[in-house]
Amino acid sequence: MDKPKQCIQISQLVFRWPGSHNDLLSIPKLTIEQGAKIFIHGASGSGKSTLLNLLTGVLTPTQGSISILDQSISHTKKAQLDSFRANHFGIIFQQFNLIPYLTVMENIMLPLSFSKHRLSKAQEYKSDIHHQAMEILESLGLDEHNISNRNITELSTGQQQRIAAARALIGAPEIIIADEPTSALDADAKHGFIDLLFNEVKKTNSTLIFASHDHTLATMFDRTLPMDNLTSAHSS
Amino acid sequence: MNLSILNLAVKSFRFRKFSVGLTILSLAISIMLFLSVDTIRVQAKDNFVNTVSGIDLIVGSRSGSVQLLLYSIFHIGNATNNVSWESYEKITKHPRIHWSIPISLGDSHKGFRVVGTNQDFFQHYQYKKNNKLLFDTGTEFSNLFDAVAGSNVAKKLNYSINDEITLAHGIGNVSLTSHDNLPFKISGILHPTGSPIDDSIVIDLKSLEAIHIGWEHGISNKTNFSAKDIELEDIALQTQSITAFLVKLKSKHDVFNIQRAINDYRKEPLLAILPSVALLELWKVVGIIEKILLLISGFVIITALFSMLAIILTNLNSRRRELAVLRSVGASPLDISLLMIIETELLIVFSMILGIVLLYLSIILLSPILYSSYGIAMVLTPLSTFQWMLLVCILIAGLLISLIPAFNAYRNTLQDGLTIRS
Ligand SMILES: Nc1ncnc2c1ncn2[C@@H]1O[C@H](COP(=O)(O)OP(=O)(O)OP(=O)(O)O)[C@@H](O)[C@H]1O
Ligand SMILES: [Mg+2]
Repeated sequence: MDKPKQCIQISQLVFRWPGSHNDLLSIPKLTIEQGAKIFIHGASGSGKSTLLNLLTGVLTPTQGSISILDQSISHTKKAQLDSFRANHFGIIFQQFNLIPYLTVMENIMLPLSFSKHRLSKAQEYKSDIHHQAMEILESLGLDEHNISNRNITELSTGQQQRIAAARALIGAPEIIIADEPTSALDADAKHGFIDLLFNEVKKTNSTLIFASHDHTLATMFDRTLPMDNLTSAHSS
Repeated sequence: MNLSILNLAVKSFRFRKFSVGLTILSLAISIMLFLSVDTIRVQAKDNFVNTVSGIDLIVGSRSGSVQLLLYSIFHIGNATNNVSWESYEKITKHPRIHWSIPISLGDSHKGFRVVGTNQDFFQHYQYKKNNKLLFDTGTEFSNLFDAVAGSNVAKKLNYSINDEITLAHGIGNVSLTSHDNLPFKISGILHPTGSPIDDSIVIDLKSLEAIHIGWEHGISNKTNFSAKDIELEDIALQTQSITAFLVKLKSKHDVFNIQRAINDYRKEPLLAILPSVALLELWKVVGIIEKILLLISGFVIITALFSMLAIILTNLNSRRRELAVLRSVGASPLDISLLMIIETELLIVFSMILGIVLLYLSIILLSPILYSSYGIAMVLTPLSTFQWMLLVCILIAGLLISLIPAFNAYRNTLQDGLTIRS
């Protein structure tokens, strides 16, 4: 399978919340290569989550276009975007990533039941997807035997975030979106988590888009995009 | 895809066992209430309309048709006039008449009605869709002073074969004028019928005539007759009149002709009625209550559905985060709406199943009480078409109701995007 060289291409993007008087985002041009590890840095309210929602096609740009994996998502129908997202994105949130009524395993397998593409990709890699999930958990530093029969609500935040990472990684989606996944972790755990995430992302050559207000993390990444540069106030 | 949504719905239920359980229970109870009101209604009507079956006409002296029905079959109230034996014999000799059962009422035993009739009664009388009278013990009367007790009479008064009883003139528990000079012996006890027969004592017309010797004017003018005297004196026991009679025709086609002929009978003002028509007519009067009950239980279901909606919507707010996570792993807003619809419908289906189970449990538990106090024999029947239709209506109502949380969830996930709101 040919990996496109360019993963994300943005041009002349403007985003303004309906009813707002100012453009929140204004990005004349932005290109992100496949496999890059990108750090989006900005203060709270600067628009990081909004940008991620635009990249995943949840929000539609006010102007301009976004292409993901050579597909223009600004010209794709909503329903198709839903399946496009399921196929090509792995998403990690700040906290409360896990569905409390599902087991650890079921939580990890969740994307595979919504995306045939990711399921077949996972099976291509290793036909026993359970085993594969356990492998990912293990490489994320979790003792899967200890974990898989525990109640989600009994797990520590760090453990929960690593399970969420395993879920984002399974089926090797091209793009991993992480919206402040470490803000609930202490400094050591933060770096440990990011290191493990990098390892896994490297294996599948996935692009990692990591948003955080914590600038100390910036040095770990290939490239930093400060939100200040992407907001209309700056570019106008 | 849908399978995994269904899977999710089931698992989320298991997680919220307690609140889901309570919701299901309250809806199930309301469904059970409705179904049981309907079941009792239908079966009571069935019981009622089939109180007497297998006859084509009831004939009595001219009065209202409901009145005739009430006194001849239900033993409620009294006939204003009798039918002469002469007319009875003459009419039932008609070639189109298959058989007939004479009925003479007027006496009682400890509050239970005494029915004077003849052997034809045991041979032909039918209740509840062609069930013949059966004996629990003993046989029909063969001697002049034999009496057959209905099942309730035997049970309540603790009678068994060969017990002696005395009859009272007139109706009522306390009777000053009695026939205690002429005791009867119980020759048989009938199997329960769920009809007024259960509360009756059946004796031969001749016996009725015998105990009324000397009572021609309503009070006794001879005292201390004994059974021996009657047998010794060999008084001719010819019945003079009866209260009513039941007629079976050779062919149902003749029913209106014969009815008209009897109603036009010259020698005596008579009335012939079709029991099924009269029973239905009477039921309409009684039946208003059942309609009101049904309506009330319908409202109970609607209330339960609304409270279910309220609970779902409250839950939805606390589940916003969960739904955003689902969205992030690839569930579309439609999938999430579908989850809401499936969850609501599952709630309803579970409630229905529980409601039906509760219905049958309640029938099993209630039927002895209903039977002993109202004579309504409840049977376990499969759900009627009406009841299935009601269940389908609830499903559809549930579907419509689930569109509200589905729409809310859809709107929320669009609004929230992939952002988790706490
Ligand atoms: N649904 C919405 N409708 C209107 N305005 C919104 C909406 N969501 C966010 N905003 C506004 O957009 C701006 C950017 O919000 P966003 O959530 O993208 O910031 P963020 O950088 O992710 O902040 P944080 O670090 O706190 O998560 C904020 O000013 C916010 O008020
Ligand atoms: Mg944010």
